[in-house]
Amino acid sequence: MKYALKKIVTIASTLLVISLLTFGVFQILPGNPVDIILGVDADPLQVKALTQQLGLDLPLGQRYISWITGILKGDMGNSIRYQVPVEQLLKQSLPVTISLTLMSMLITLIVVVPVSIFLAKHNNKKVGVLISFIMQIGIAIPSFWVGILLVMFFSVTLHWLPSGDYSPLSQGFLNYIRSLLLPSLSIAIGSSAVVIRYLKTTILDNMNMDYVRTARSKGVARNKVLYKHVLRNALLPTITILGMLIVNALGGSIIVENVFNLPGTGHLVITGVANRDFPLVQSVVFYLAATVVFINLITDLLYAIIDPRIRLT
Amino acid sequence: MTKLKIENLSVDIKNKNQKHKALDDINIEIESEKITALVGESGCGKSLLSLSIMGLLPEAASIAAGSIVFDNINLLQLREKEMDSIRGNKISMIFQEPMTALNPLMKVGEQIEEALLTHKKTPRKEVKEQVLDIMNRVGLSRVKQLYNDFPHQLSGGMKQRIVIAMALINKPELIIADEPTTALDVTIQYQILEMLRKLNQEMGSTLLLISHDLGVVNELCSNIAVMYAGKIVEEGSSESILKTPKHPYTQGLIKSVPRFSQKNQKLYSIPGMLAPLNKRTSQGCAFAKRCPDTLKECYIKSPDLREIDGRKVSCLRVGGDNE
Repeated sequence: MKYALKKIVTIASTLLVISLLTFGVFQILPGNPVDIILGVDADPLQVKALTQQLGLDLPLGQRYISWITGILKGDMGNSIRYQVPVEQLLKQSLPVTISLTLMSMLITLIVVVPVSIFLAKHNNKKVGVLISFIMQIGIAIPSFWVGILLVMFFSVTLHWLPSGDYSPLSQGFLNYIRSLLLPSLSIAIGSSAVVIRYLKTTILDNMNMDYVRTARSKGVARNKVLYKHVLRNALLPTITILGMLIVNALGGSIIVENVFNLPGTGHLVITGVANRDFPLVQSVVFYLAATVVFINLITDLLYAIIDPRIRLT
Repeated sequence: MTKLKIENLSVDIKNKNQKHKALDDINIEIESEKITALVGESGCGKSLLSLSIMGLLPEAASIAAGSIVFDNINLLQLREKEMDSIRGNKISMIFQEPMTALNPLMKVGEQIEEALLTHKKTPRKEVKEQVLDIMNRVGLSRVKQLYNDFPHQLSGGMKQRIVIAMALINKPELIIADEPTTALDVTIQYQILEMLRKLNQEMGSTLLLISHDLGVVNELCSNIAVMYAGKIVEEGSSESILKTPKHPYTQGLIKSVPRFSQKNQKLYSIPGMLAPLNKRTSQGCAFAKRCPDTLKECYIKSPDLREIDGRKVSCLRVGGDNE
């Protein structure tokens, strides 16, 4: 109970700071939506009217409070650029970003465990060293560049997969997967490399621990010790990394969505910033930040479920 | 009757592409149903010897020569699968660090259970019964509740009892206990040792006790082998060795045991230190530099293990030409 209360207070205060920051940053940013809509040499009267209409003449504090109370009620105001409620834009774009994130995480998870085990087993052998070297490259190259390479190879040369554009689930599962495969891959390659490197090291560390020797002394075969004892212990600290990678995938989607022309939240943020669309950008950024906070919470809870040493008190 | 016979066993340890002899031509016979002690200071190779028997040497170590014969089978020639079927079943080991010897994410009951199920197909109903029974026998109480506890919820002594229960559940013929009480406080040390003695008598198993505590050894063991720098320097019945030690190292060890009669006197310790692996030479006696009583030959000639007065000693001054 105490734990829950502590968590709630932390999360609430984090969100408060985030909201202040996102709101503040866009006040400091030069340029305002009125200039962008009307042009620099617009009629001063028109400018005044539009400023009033958008509520930009109100004092800062009042604007912040009306924005934050709106968010709490689920009303995020109207987008200046698109002239529709922000919720509507989010409703269209969120499924795209969530699909992208989930699919890249899924690919990461499928790849990571077997490859890490293989590398841990072949640590000092040539295959292992070679794969580890390739991993390093995977960590070093940015996801958008991987994306462009993937498009060149799979779309331009081989014509196997579309080079961009999103096909929603309602238009068929196969097309949906096909449209997301390359962008998810370009995120997953980098993140898999990070997790594999980490998990491999953790597995190797664990294999030298006393409890492994105890298990072996009971007559448990080498492989069984690896899967039954070592893997679970090694996956534990990896959860933190996975949580960080989901966050990374969310952030990375901003760029990857633009490379692949996917209408996700990342795409929305970019257009919003370019048009000084304050209500839109503030709300989307706030939502993304809140998602990060909740993912961290889930990571903590997962820990407590898997590790008996952590009790939520 | 001999339960375990180690002949000419040498083990190398590789460090920075250099091989060092960590165990050098070890010969020892361990008698059936008795408690044999292996004593010597840290770094002398006691643990390495026990891990060689278990076939669990660390990656850097490798067997260079020799044989380890258990019940007429040379363990060193077995394939991994065959060795797996012996480990924990016919030979089991109790480790010195109960704090880290258990898997932190597994219930202790399940960890004992794993030892049983690895070797014996047991009906599900009986499994738990047997686990609870062995937990009772190693002196744990409220075992039903304990079964579901995780290692971090247990004290050091309780963890060591769990480790011992794991080693005993298959009623092994040979138990290797590697300093089983080093990490525990004195009152619990005594209980654990008492328990080991009792179990040894009840189950008729052979026990190899590795220790650097001569008090413990005196209490429990019928035979003693003293190791120094990867070699056995003196071996025989515990009475003869503790009462009339022949090797200067054994004499030094016995002299270093604190005694009430020497209250307020400075505690004796053998001068110098055991040379680290990379500084050991094969020439001469390894103990020569610390020995209170050396001859010129001690630095040149390596002594062999010779039988004198009902025990084996490896010292140039004892028996042979120089006595």
